Amino acid sequence: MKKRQLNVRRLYSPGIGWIFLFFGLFFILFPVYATATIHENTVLNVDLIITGVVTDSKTGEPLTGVSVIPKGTTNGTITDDNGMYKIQTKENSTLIFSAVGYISQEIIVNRRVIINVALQGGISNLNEVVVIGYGKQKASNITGAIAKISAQDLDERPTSRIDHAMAGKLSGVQVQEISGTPGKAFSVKVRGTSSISNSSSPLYVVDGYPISSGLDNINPNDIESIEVLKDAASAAIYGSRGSSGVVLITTKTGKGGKPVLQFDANYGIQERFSKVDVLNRDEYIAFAIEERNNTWKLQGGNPSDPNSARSSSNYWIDPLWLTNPSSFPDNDWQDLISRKAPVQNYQLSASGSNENVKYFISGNYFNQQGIILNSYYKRLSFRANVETKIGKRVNLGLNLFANSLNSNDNGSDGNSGPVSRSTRVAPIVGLTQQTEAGGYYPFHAAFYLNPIALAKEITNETNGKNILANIFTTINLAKNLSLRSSLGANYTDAFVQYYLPNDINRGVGSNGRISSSYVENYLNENILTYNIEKSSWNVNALAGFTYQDSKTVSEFLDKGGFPDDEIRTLNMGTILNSGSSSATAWSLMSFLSRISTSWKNKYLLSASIRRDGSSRFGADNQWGWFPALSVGWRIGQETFMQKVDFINEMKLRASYGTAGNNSIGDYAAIGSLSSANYVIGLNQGVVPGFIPGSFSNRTLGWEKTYTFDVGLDLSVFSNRISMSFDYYRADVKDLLLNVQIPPISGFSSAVSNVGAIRNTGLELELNTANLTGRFKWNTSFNISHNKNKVIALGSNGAPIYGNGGYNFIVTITQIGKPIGSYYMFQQNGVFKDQKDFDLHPHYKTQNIGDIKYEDINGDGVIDADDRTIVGNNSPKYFWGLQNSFSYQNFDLAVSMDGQWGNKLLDIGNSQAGQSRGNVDGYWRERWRSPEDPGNGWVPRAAVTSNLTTPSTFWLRDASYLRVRTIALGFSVPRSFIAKVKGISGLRLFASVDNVFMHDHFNHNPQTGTYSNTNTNPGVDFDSAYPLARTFTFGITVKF
Amino acid sequence: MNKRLIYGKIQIVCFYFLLTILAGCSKLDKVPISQKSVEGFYQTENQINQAVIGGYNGLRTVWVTSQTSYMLTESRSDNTMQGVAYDDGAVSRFEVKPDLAILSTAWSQYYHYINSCNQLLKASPNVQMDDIKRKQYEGEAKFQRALFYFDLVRLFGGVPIVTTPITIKESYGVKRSTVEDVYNLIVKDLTEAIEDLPLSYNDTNTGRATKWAAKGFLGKVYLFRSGYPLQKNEWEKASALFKEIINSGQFQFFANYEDIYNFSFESDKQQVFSIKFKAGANGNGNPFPTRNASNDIKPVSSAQGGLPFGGSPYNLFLSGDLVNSYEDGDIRKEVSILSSWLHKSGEIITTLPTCKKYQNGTVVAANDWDIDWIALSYTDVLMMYAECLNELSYVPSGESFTILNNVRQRAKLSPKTATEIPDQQSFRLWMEKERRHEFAFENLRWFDLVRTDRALDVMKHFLTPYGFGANLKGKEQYIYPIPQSVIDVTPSIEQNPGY
Repeated sequence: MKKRQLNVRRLYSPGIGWIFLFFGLFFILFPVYATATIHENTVLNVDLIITGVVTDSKTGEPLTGVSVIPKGTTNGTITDDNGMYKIQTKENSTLIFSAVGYISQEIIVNRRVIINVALQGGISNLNEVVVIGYGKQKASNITGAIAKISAQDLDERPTSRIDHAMAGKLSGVQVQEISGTPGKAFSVKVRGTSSISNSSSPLYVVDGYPISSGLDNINPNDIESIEVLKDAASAAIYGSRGSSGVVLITTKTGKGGKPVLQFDANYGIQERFSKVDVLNRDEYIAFAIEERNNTWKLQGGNPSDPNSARSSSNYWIDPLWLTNPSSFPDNDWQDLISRKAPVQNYQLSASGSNENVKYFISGNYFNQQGIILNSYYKRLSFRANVETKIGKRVNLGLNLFANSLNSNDNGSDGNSGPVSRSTRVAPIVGLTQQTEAGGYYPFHAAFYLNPIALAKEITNETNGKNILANIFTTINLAKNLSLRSSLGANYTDAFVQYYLPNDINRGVGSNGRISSSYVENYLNENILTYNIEKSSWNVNALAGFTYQDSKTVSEFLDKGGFPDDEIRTLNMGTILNSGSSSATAWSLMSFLSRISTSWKNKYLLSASIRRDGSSRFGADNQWGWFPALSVGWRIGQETFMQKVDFINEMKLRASYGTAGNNSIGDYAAIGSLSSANYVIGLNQGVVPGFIPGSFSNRTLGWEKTYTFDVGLDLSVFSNRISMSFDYYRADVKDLLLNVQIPPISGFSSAVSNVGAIRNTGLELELNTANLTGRFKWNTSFNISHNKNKVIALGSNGAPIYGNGGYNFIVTITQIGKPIGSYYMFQQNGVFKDQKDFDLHPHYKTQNIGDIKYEDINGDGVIDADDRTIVGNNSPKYFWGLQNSFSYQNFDLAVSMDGQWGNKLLDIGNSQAGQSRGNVDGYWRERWRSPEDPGNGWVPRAAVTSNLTTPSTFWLRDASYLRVRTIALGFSVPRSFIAKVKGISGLRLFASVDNVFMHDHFNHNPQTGTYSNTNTNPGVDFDSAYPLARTFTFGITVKF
Repeated sequence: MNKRLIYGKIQIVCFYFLLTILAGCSKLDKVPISQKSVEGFYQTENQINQAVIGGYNGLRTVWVTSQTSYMLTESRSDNTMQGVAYDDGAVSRFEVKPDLAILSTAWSQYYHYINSCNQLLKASPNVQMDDIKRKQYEGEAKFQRALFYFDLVRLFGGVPIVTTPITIKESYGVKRSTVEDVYNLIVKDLTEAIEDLPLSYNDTNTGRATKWAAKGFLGKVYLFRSGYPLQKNEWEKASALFKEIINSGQFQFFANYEDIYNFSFESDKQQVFSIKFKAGANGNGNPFPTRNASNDIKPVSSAQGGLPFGGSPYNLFLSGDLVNSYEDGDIRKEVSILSSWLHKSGEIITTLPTCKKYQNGTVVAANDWDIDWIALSYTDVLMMYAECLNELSYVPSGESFTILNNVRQRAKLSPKTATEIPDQQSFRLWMEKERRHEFAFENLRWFDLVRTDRALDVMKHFLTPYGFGANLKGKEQYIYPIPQSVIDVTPSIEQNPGY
């Protein structure tokens, strides 16, 4: 029985099978290329003047700078700002249309005088311009590891934030969807966990402005491209902030001649994507009777004892359960707190450019109602990107973004929020019970409050404002030499109003809180650039100085004693429970320089260095150097490769560099004092007192990442297949650790630069144009593998344990193992019967029906030494697959993503076996007796150490496969819309988000609501806001 | 456009940027805006005073507000039998392993506050202030430090002695001291504190440790040294100190037992030293009454049978052994124990007595009561004095009988005669029983059982009916294991025998 269960579990885990499935599908469906033969007509050959417009096949926008050359000649032309060209050639010749980033097309003139061409975007990104730190570079000259997504690669679905939109799109970038709460941040990691104690999330840079206030500063609809600097060589130019990767976000600017006014409208309906399997009324009652009698027996009682003889209400049995169970309701609380909810997104933008002015101006309104009652996220945002010429040498520009956010989150992810309670409150509880007004069901835990009331009555409303303004000027000081100076400010404030009415505060009275904070951030950058371009070599050099300064102020006020719940502002509260305000600040001063050069378009070299001084570092260690070097060899350009004509591009890259992580806290180096007040005097005065709160460390510094990266970029078959492969080894050293120290020093821990970890990994990006004819099919696939290993910890290498609540140790960070590995007993079935029980060692006061733990060290005793590493929350592999198809005016995009090889810990199980509330559905399969042993995995219904001892009984497989989005679009033919005056483009689309998911944890295998820190990741309380399936319809109109 | 104008503008812009750069250069040295830092503290009299106040906060934390206090003492004794869910379940059942989390919490807490005392004592001689004030502050710090070590030595045995601030590096080299050495330090600190501390304080400073408090605790330390394990026979020294306190006229034996726990009299002369609380003052309230009442008690007034703001899941689960041990008519039972209370369901519960002590006076929220917690009561001084007398020599119907009979009579019980208590040993058992009832839930019981070396017998008898008798193996369980986290980080610290 035991064996069978184990095997079933193994079958569920996806493993290698998926690899075969995917690669199989990919290659089977890979198309047979149709080779077009070109018939030359040699009979008549008259010169014709041919004109036409070249457009982008996807957007319909005119393309500037497309080269048009009659085949076999060199006298071509290029298209103008409106995409127009004019060329004189023979009537039977063939025109070659080619442009950077597009698949070239050959068209036989065949006596036509007007030839309009729609060029298809290439799958090779080697010819694009890529945004890098403090500049841009042609993709062909890139020597670091940089991943990119452009606006058109973002799904056609309304997303509230760009981290939501990035999921599954980039190799090496893991986007973890912790919760479905509208507007909530996801966890983003570039190439694995790069820190132990500090943030491992990348630095976000919006149009050159490094922001520290999160992604609320960006409207996803304004984005032109997202570039992720993955290796230290690319990120070193960001110095002490680059070690977790840098995400460069570029917003749209005006381009392409005449003004375009565009209106986008999306409307979607979201519905709950999944539910947790819990017991229904009859199952619950049976479980509760069984559990309470069993537990009472464990306390020394007798199952026949009446309630009056049982020492706690935990063991009481409602007489009605036995006599009339059907008199209770059978409420499905998860349905009761859920709803179908709309999501809307409207954007109006204007853009254009001429030789003096470029502009992009947008206004956006996003409104997402949550699928859990009373939750929502709304955003109103504005952007103006304007740049103008002042005279010949000077450009002046302003990027301005402002938004206003309004959201309500009724504690939905919390372990006492409505989502958690919707699975824990028993189905037999009445619709209004478990509140002060409705009374408490006495045979149920009182603190499991009514989920509907929790969802409806809590106010937790956030109002936020963001302004990001950056004024910049570019001055051409001399030939090839220019100075760009900018001065920017980023203001962010958040105002949170929280109100907990007495009805769901267990009679303790209503409670109102205000917390508010604002961040002021200023940036000044001055960058000198020198560019020289010769036929066989070029040099791009820059040197600069930047200074950034930030201050955060927060305040908090908590009041009680409200007369009633009618007015919820704090003026109604009569008791001040607490109130405070505090502020912190940091500053960063930097000198940076980079030189990039290419010789004969084959040999590439780039070197950069940054010197950062940070207020966060200890007084004796305030400045640090961050150098990097990278080289590239475009083998494809070598003469000996010219004969291999199916290879369009082949580039070998190698880089080594160092970047830092300064997210160590604003005053980590300074020993703090903790407040420790006391009451003195006859009048009971509260007198301020202080005790040391932490050690001072004058040498405290940044964490350093040294990354070696080697990559190969390959583009073959007329750029129809391109791939990029990277191997990296990132050594992170001097990690700040709160090291366990002897408590006799006065502290149990102290922060110092001692730890080291290593991430090694492989990344593959593959883009193919499978079909390029009238029916087009492009595929892009990325897959990433990262392996993490802890190299060094505190002075004696003592492991760091992570906690799963109630002081349960559930994770371990240990030298030689991946950071934050799950660490607990290994379950080996349950004790089926007396014989089984006698054969195996037991733990504590175990008995038949309890979980059998594996005696790992084989000493015949189950104790703490038998705990072992049982898995990790970091996936072994994660991948994304996008297929896009188009036929005439229709296009279809299908995105999939997934991960495998990782686990998730559900500590909700530590509560879930207690009948004081409802329990998960797997308890149906519990052990009831030796004759009825269930599935051999779920123990008996009783409150025993089964529930308080972390074991693999709580562990779930976190692998998943998901069809994230299917989007179908239709661009109304130009011929049709030409009849409507003023309209130049019209597009309609429909999409489904979260179409399908195969997983093992409630369609939410990336969650971690209890804890998701680096050393204690993926610890869930089974309380995450559920994901939604969204059906969206949208329209885009261009004027 | 006018060329000169443009270049003029450029110059302005450049000049502006230059200014920003220069302004920026001086801004890398940020000091905490909202937090005091260790550097720059302990330099003025006011700061020394604030550090002393921090030490009192420490005593309050380790004795009352932190759960370690009762979990490691009252839960260990026969007064309670805790459930499995929390750490004190293992404590109650004598299933303690070195990795029990509250052990490391307690250990760290004590040394955290000891470090605060050490910092102060090191800095104080160099601070400009009046010498009388200096003596007082140093006396207070020594008083606090002695009491932290007094707990440590009773909980863990011979712990490492640290009397000055040490570096992280130094902390790895610190070794365990003997029980005797730790007691010597305690005696030294308290003796010096007696020298330094004033007899009393003005109205704005009452509540700080007085000479009497230090004497009382030093007497108690001698009493403990006379018992298990050191058996130093210092009854004389102890009784002399208690006698001084009794003769001082500063303290008063209350006529009514319940007045001792009455909020209205909390500042009166019954208390030699107490921990001060204030309700509604940001965490300065007393959690004891809420925390130690049944989780199921209805949050209504005591008059209605409930408790304002209810109880807590961490409450003390009273043992039947304690509840049944009171003699009929002993009013201490009803002051200490709530036998009948209102369940949340509306039912009156009479089968599950819960703690009632300190449920008195102002309360503004759960865990936020105004009432003080008695650390050393005058009754305790009297009873310890009586115990010393009995140990020095049993005198039938002597002064020790008078003291115990006063306590009994106040509890509305009839006095005992020398016929009933015919010898020294029976007086000891009588003392043990009266102390149990007089000081129920005041964290004294377990240490009393240990110092009299009675714990093995009493607890064996207590645990056996529960089926846990076999867990109690020997006197090595009189102290707790050194926390595993401490051993892990400093392997040179040896584990206590038996763990």
